[in-house]
Amino acid sequence: MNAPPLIEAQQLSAGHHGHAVFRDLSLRLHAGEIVALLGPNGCGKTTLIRTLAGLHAPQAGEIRLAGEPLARLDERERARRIGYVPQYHRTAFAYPVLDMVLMGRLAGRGLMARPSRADREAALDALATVGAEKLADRPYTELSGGQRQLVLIARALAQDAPCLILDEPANNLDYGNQRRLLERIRALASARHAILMSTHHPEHAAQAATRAILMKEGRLLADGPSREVLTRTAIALLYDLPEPQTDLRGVA
Amino acid sequence: MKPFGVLGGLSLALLLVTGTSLLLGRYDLAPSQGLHALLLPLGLGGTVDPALSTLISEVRLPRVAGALLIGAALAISGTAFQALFMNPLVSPGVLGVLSGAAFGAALALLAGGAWWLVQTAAFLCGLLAVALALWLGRRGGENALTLLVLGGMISGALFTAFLSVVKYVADPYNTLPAIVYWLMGSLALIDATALAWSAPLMGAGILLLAVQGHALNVMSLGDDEARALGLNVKRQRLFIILLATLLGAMTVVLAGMIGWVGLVIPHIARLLFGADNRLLLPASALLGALYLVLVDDVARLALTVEIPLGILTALIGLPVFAWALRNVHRGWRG
Repeated sequence: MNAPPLIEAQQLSAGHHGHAVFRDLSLRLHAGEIVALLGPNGCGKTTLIRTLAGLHAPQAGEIRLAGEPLARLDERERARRIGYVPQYHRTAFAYPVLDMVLMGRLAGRGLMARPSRADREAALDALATVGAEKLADRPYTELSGGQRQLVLIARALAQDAPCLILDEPANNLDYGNQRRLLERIRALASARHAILMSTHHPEHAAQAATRAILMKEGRLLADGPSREVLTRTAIALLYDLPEPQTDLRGVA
Repeated sequence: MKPFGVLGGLSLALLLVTGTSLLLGRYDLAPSQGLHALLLPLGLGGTVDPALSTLISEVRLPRVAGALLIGAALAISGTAFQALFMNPLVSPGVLGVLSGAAFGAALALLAGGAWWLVQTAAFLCGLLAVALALWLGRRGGENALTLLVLGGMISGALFTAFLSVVKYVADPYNTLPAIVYWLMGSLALIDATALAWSAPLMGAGILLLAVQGHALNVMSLGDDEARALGLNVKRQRLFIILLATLLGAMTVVLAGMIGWVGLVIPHIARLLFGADNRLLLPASALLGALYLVLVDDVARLALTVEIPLGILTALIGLPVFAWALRNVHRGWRG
């Protein structure tokens, strides 16, 4: 591949108050990939995700987006390159779903401009992509957890950024909604996007991702195609479980 | 409700109430007299007693215009702060601007300063108090907003303590009553010169703040999300704090401490018009203007002596607020 990776981290270190959560970490994400980031609680997943999304300043190292240093971009420029999907949440205000998705168009049009027809169409398209077009007029606060997560993904899609970073998107959803959401994420794979999602569940990585990265205590244990990385031995090592691990039979 | 309908209706109501208020007073005027008197300085008036014209343009107009501007400024400042801090307990004084301004004015009164000195001191000390609050709450990280509110509490308490010192040492027969009266707030304090320079400033501040609704909506999602959507949260927050602070300080400069408008009106506006800040900010400004013009009419006309406005805004505002409180959660959930 000749194009520079959509996301490239080199010798990255980050943490809080001078204490490093991870050190000298390097990884690349190319267009067309869906990458799952797996690891036990406290392994540094969230810090890594937030750092790559530009929400947390690294202590050392560099992140490049399609060759451009992330540190040199301001908020708006960054938002045009990375869409960040937080875990679904409660909001104080009952915005209609369409308004919520339209907030994804902020970086494109600026704060003062009213949403154009093109913005509306992009928002509706994004909702259709995740199969939530029927929710457009509903208040966001009245949706189920799974629906909210879809709306937040649609908002990131409406942002029209080539990189999508999802923070534990299937967390707190019931089994059926988890499966449906992961199907949607897998369907997002395109030659244009690079998608990175963190997850607690090896099954999710197996179901949705083309590639898996295992992270433990601030280091990468493994990085490669999901099928090759997600072995029982690797999972047992990652989560400090005794082998053999039987829970995953028929799933991974 | 359609936003334009709401804002149009409120503007119309405000126009009617303002017009009527100009006619009411010790000498009631007929609408035609009022119109002529207003047009006379522009060279358009027909036959009208010049004394009436003076009464309107130099006594009543500054006062009613002052009520309008101060009501709008306090209400929109309170609404912006409530949206910014996502906290229904917050009012324009949250970062200490009112306490700072009160101290500044009292200090200047103590020093026997001229009226312009009192105003300048009030303004500068108001800004100083907010600067102190911002400095105290500067390293928030994830708790930036909580820390800011605490910084404001400290700053406000500090300047209130300074104010007590000033009151304590003030001459109890002369200066102290002046300070106390000033602290109660009154639109009778407004003079045409002060209004002439402050009105454009306040108008601009109100307009700038009224269009921050979209930014505040995005910021209500939390810092991370707002930043990920492309908003420079820190800069935007500082800008909004600055605007709301300037407006708060200006109201104290013009009319002393007028309490409760900035807490009560935002709640009622939120109850009536919902939580979307794009509508809520301009609507609360109009509602605040309407409210203060009406309350000032009561202050001027109810008794033969004028009732201090700050007392009335509390006496009228609080029962309304108590009644609205039962439904207040509705406005916050939208």
